[in-house]
Amino acid sequence: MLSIEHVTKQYGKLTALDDISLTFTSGVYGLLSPNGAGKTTLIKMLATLLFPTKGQILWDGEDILALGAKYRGMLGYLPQQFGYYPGYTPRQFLRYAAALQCIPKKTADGRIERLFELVGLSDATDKKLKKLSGGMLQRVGIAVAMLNDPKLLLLDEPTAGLDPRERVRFRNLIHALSEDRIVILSTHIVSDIETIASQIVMLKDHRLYCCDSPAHIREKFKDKIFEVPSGTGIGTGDYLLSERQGNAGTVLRVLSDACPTGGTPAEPGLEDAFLAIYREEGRP
Amino acid sequence: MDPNNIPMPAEQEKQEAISQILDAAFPRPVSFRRELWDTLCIAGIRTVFCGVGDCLALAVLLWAFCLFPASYLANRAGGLAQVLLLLSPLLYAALSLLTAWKDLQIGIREWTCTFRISAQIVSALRMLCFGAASVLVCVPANLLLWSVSGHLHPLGWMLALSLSSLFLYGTLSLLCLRLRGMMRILAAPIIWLIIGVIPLMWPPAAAWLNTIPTVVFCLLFACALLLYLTEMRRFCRRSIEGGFSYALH
Repeated sequence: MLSIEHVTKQYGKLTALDDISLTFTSGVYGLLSPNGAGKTTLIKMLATLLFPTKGQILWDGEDILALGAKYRGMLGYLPQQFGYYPGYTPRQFLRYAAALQCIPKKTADGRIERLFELVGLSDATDKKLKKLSGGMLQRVGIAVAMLNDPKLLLLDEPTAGLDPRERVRFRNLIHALSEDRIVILSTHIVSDIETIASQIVMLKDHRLYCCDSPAHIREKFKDKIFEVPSGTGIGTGDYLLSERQGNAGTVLRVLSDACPTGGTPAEPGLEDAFLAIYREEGRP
Repeated sequence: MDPNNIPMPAEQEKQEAISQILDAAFPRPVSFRRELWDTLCIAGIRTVFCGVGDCLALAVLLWAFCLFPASYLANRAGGLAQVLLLLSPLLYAALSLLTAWKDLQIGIREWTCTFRISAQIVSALRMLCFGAASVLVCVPANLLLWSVSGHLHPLGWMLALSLSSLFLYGTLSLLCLRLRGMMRILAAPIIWLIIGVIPLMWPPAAAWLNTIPTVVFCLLFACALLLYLTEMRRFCRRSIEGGFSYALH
């Protein structure tokens, strides 16, 4: 079990995270917030790349920084920008990572083959990394992160830059890998985690906003989301969330306490909840 | 079970159990040398130098290229000591700088910090190998400069100066790793360049350098080597944040 206890992270005068407390057990956790909210900082602290200014992070009751190599041996990490040696093949690169994870060569070779099959890279094992597409590189990254059969898998914006087909493939892969381990996936793309995360962690104003299931988060906005035809005036206190193409043309999705004139109630989605929660952020 | 007749462990069994508990609770500290050796045995030399072949080739080329101006300067009256002071750490500095720069450029440095074998231990092993390689190339380079300068100074004096310079630079570069950002890797060569240029530009400093006896340089070398190894140990044991600048982007 991984627990974050009253963790604060400051860069000089800037507070990136303020008094965060969370507990993670097996399952997929989606870390969802707009850019700059502190997702990467939190992921990096869990990866021991950054140290908390205050508070501590515990793995089964022991400080992860004190556990050192023992903790890193249980950790799989895919950074936002996946660095690699371009002249290496995926097989060479995974062997290199296996050596750094202290996995014996024979064990590593068998595991590498299985991982290539799992991530669908069996045909590209001997191509140079510089010749692989973005999606294939991300799959190499996932294979590296999975090499040591980690108990904790950290994925920082893993679908950024992938086309829709690769993103769906990636989601399916994460879902398949999530048994008996903690998977923490940071993203600002709602659809990436709506289907696979059992819990969503949201950060707002550098503090923890909520850690809840997608259904519960949606539930909070029940009877508050309405669709009105395009061109309808938005009332005071109402908030325009998004627009979509309906059967009768463009419709606007509105957050409101009461049904606007000409509006119809709509089922809230996680994206509606996300837009409603962060509605004031990024506004001039 | 009869509560009045519970079988109790013998004294030896008790002591063994206590020892096992203490061993598990307080593992014996592993020496730095042992830690490095174990890591090298587990990871292998190929892993330690993975992806840095081009940096090695470039550094060796740069070092070989710099031998020409070094020979010219050594041939000038009184230029030998300055050349040795400035250029003895060249191979070490080039290897350290290029490998660190490449790891930063391709973005692999941060990632390798999360592996079981820490990036610090890998860096330490690399630096120690670079140091050993620099010591080895010092001998033929000194022989060359010795013959080019017409045996102006004893070879022992030249070697002692070279090795002192090399390990003083090594210690300086390790100390500079405590800084943040790019200055971690750039500060040491900049400081060394300034120190090395002074005797080249200011004749009294060069004259003073030429009067230092061999025994002083030998002592300096021994102290610098000791400092280098101590600072290397501190570098490996220190908790260093690996993703500071990246998180701010």
